[in-house]
Amino acid sequence: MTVGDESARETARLERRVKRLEATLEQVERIRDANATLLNRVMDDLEVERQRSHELLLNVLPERIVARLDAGESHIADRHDQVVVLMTDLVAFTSSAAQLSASNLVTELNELFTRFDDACATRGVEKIKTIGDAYMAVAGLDRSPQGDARESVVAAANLALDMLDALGDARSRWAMRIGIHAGPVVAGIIGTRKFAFDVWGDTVNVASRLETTSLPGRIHVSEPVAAALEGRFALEPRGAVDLKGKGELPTWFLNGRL
Amino acid sequence: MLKMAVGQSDDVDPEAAIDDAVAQAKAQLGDATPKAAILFAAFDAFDPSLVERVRRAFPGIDVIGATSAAEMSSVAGYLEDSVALAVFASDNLELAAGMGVGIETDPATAAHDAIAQARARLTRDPRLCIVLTEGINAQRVIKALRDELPADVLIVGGAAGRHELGGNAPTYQFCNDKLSATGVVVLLMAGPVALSTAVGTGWRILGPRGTITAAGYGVIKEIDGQPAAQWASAYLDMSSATYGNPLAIQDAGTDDWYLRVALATDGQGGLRIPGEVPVGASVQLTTTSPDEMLRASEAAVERARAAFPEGASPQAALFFSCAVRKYLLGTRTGQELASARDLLPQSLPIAGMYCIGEIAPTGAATAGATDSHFLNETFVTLLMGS
Repeated sequence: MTVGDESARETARLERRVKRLEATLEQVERIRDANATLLNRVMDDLEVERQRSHELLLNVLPERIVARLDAGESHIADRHDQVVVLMTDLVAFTSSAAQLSASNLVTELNELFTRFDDACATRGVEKIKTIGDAYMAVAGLDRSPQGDARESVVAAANLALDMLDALGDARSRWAMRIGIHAGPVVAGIIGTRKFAFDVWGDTVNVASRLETTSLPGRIHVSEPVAAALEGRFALEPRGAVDLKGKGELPTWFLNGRL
Repeated sequence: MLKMAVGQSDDVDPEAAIDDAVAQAKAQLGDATPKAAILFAAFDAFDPSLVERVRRAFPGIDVIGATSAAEMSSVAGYLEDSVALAVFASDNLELAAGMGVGIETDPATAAHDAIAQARARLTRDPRLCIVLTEGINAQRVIKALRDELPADVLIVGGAAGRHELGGNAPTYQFCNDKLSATGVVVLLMAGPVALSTAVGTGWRILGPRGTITAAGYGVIKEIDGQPAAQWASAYLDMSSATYGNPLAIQDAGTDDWYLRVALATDGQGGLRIPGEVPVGASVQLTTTSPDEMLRASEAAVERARAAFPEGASPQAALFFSCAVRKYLLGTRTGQELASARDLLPQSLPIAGMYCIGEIAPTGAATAGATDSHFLNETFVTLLMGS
């Protein structure tokens, strides 16, 4: 083989290589574009799903808690020195519920609690949970350290009055007892599955006792709550009431706004 | 003892290339007497006269082979437009080849003919069936071969290739003086051969998961009760084949996923695919990157090596990789072979081809495997020894 032959073969080999590379490049570009289309569409799906999950989470957790979970926090438990806990209970719910079909019972309860949820949103009070016919809400969890603690008490008082109004508007078959107390709590998330935001502490227990010792259609409040509402709401002293585990304490009925 | 001598050349003159490859193989064989050969020939370089030159160089041996999209070997690495020749010699193994044709109309008869021709010249039951066939009907051929062979025979191979991925241009399979575009050629190996095989893809599953609710050979008709093309079009541009984003398929009741390229829509709401997938199988979308593909082929080599029978050592390796991998890996395609060589004994002879469809069990397996599948976009490792 001459040098010229060898050179011609090498040229032919290179030309063939260039042809292959051009074909490869063309194919790679097509595949790259198709892959980009797929990934964009899947990313769009993921964004929709992410938004849906976020909204679902916001239905069960406060927005600031969701933000902290999104940021990677897994154990959330915060102490709050001055919050207001409101507890409600429907009087004789169990006995009257037995006379209703399950469907009607759930429908009526759902309509009522939806009104309560709306009232919470209007008054800036955080719904914590419902347990059967009981409804629990807390004001002041998101208050800044410089915020006026009395405004949280006012918000809870307004919510309680709104709830009684909602019960009347709905011509509900039930009467309701309400208890309100203010003080320190610990708030946070428990569990890793089906987790829930909750509050714990003696303040919660006292609010619960105030509710159970209240009367149908009445809002039963503790001394710190009454003190904060003085001059803006109509309060009626009830005298000393024996609250289980706390002994006799002075309490008031909240009758309305002034 | 199994000896595989390898030659490879990309000389622009195909006859000079095959003569080069033959000379390299002869030099490695030494005094060993060859029994059979496999020729992987670049589609554009292929001419039946190449097979004849090999047969003249090694009188009396069986020569099987196929056209390929690219070739690889331990002597010249990864090359396009080359011929790669693997010549087998052994003092204790029997090798015999056979070919059947007309797989598009009667795969059972084609498989029967191929196996019958080869087995007629074996005194023992085969342990390994190396198969080369055509991609569109390969799945039918595998099933037919399975029916013809003892249950413990490992079936491994690939579908003939060409440079272009799409289109209807034929690919060729050959055995000695016979050539076909719709054939099945087999090389059976009998005797105390030690084997292992493993596959890797590198595709990641993503997006929604569907269930195939209507399908036929060569087509997925419905996914989740809606036209399959409609399901796929929500994510894939179905104006061309989904080479870069094959569908991941998981047959009901199994853990393994395999890939199927959606070639095009069939005009009736279905997706044309090579081979078939069963109704009830799950389907998902996929994506990949060169790094993931290379990691997967490396992992396949590692798994095959780990599965190789204890007490034996590999004496030869055959690789069957997909032509789509070649396009996706681009200038890094040679790394599939280079990485494999780093994981295997440096002196191990290797030969292989880039094909349009691969054939192997989907899990790591030795010669006890009976679950060879028709695969797409997969890297198949076959290690052999005795």
